[in-house]
Amino acid sequence: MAFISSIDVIGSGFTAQQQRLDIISENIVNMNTTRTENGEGPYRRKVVVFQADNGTGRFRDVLARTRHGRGGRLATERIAGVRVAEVAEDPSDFKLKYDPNDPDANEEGYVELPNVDLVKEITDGMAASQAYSANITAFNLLKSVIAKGLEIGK
Amino acid sequence: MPGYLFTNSLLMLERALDFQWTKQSVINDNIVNAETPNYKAKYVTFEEALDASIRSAALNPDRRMSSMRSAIGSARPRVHVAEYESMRMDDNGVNVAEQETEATRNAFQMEYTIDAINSNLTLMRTLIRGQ
Repeated sequence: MAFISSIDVIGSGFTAQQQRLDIISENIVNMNTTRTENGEGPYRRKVVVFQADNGTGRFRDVLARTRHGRGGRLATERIAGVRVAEVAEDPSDFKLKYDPNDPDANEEGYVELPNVDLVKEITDGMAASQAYSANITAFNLLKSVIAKGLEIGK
Repeated sequence: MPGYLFTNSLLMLERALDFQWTKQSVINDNIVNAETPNYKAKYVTFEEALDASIRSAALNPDRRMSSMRSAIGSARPRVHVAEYESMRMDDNGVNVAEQETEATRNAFQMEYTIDAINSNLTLMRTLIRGQ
């Protein structure tokens, strides 16, 4: 059914933005974390990487390709939403703070602090929340159209 | 097949609804990818394809209803990608405000099309019942 997959598209947007917000929260709560579980320096800022999903991995498409060979439907014009390709680590340098009394200070007395910039995280969070709202608007429109479409011939 | 039951106008409405549905899905795809780097907005065209196939059917010497019917029925919406449109650093080409407006407009247009289909069907039902 065409409209089920259309809801999936917006669902993928919700999931992606939600995950982005989660990662932003994680960055913010860890902005002063100087120790991580693997013991290698302070917390490193994380970022989500979005990717337009072409839907080639879906069961339906795999089945169609297997049945019709390579001549099956092309994936280039498929509409399949967005997905989080990976949660990458920000490779930028850690911040250094001179505090010789800190237990995590190095020999010169500097403490490495996470490369999290609070302003950046907050603006990023606002962008994610705006994108989420845009998805909600699109979802409500789709919902009303589907409800109307189901009334055809009644 | 009785002509008054399956009119060209109903077929035209069906094709229009197909186009509008495709358009709605494409707009939704654009909206959810509004933050995806390198993503380019997609858009749908249909009027050109419909116009071309109706024109070629009108040039057909026998000019029968059936050839016009198949001309309308074979017109398909096409999805294009706006490759060069981007004003952002991440090369994303989606303008969310524009897409939202278009989504709203298209949703209203769909409701209108569905209303037209329904009144067509009501007319048929009246014809069948004779009351």
